[in-house]
Amino acid sequence: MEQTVGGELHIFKGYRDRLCRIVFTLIFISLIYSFFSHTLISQLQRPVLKFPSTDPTYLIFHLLRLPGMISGHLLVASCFDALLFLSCLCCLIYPRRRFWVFLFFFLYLFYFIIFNSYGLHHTHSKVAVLLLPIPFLVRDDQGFLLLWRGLRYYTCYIYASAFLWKLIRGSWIFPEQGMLIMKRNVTASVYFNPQSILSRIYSWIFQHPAIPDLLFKTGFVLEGFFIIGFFTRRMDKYLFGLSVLLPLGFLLVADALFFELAFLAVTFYSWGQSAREDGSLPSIIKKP
Amino acid sequence: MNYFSGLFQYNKWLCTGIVAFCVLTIAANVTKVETTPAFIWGMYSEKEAPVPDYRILQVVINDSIPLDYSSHYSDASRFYLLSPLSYYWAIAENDGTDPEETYYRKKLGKYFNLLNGVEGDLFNDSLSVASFMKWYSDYLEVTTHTRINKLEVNILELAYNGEGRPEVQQESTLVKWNRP
Repeated sequence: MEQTVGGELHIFKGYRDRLCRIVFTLIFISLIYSFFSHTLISQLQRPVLKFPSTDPTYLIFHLLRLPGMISGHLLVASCFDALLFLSCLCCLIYPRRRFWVFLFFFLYLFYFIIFNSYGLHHTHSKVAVLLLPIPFLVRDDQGFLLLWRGLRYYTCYIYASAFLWKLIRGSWIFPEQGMLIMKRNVTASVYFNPQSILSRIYSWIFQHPAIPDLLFKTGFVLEGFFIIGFFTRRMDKYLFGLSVLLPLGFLLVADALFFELAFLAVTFYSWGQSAREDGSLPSIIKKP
Repeated sequence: MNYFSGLFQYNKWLCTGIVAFCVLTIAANVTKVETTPAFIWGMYSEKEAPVPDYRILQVVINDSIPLDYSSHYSDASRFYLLSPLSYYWAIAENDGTDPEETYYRKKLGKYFNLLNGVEGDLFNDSLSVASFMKWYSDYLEVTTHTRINKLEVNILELAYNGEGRPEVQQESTLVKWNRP
């Protein structure tokens, strides 16, 4: 990384490539996880019930019958999955060849829609994998840096928005919120495995209502911390930690593993990030 | 604003695209209509209503093997083992009609007829519902590596006792299925 007299940091050689490899390594792990979870399209066994709901994007996909065309034919679904893996691997090996990034992004958008449509619930856990490739779609480093910073702002928005929704809806002052979320999500687990250590912990927590309440309120405050990210980059190392910690909190409180969401933590890590501390653009971005 | 001015200097079309995305996201949040990629990030912000008991599904394979979808599988597998089955349950509770269809009928009123011809693309018809258990058993076979000839899905109503443990209050059968 180079530093100019004016204190501005330039993008160092290979920075974008390194970041691309980090991102697509994480994405590749996510795809391997999908494979072992039997949730790749070819593993879904031609699902029959669908859920486009009220999301216009899903509605368009279903009106064009695209999800059914892919998931309804084993050969097509297998080719689709193979291409998804191949494009991800090619992004890893050839980080500068944008064709593979375009192809991966396009395929993953389809995968995202199909996974949620036939999962009968529009989950957000895979949003990070959908968004992370976007900065690598642009040709030059200036555009890449701007979109990468945009993605960092979006990560701040995700948690700040969760904070604001809780604030507006007043759920943060509702003393039973943490306990009720926990019970709604872990009851099956506690019932089916009464002797497991985790079930015993949950049973103990249910006898002490102040604990889930404290956990929920702590999560609420930590989400609010991301608002700072819109104004300064000085707290990024803490935001990095929090964006890994909060999905772990969801796992504990709501028994939902949003591990892909934690991938967005990379947007807070300064792998030689070329932006000034005050948030202004580096000189290489400014046009003469 | 610094960010947007830099973006505009770099490429006004890219800047317009990002601004449009921001506007769409705000609109999605205000109207509460999620429009991918303008997501709504509520994250358990809706106020939970206290309930006297919790209803869960119990799946029994071949009359003997209870499926523990709650802990023995990865989160993504659990999602596919439980969420479609829960939706099937919602359809059953809605007299065999897709709850989404009911929702659209209510919202659109007399304009629902405009969807004639595309209903099959948007909602689950009786044929899809009838073939669900066959699909579910196929998916279970792949996930559990067990040959499935019989499936029984029960609804358990559980209430917590003083020790923080759920106890069965009532049990009913949602569906029994035999491989043809």
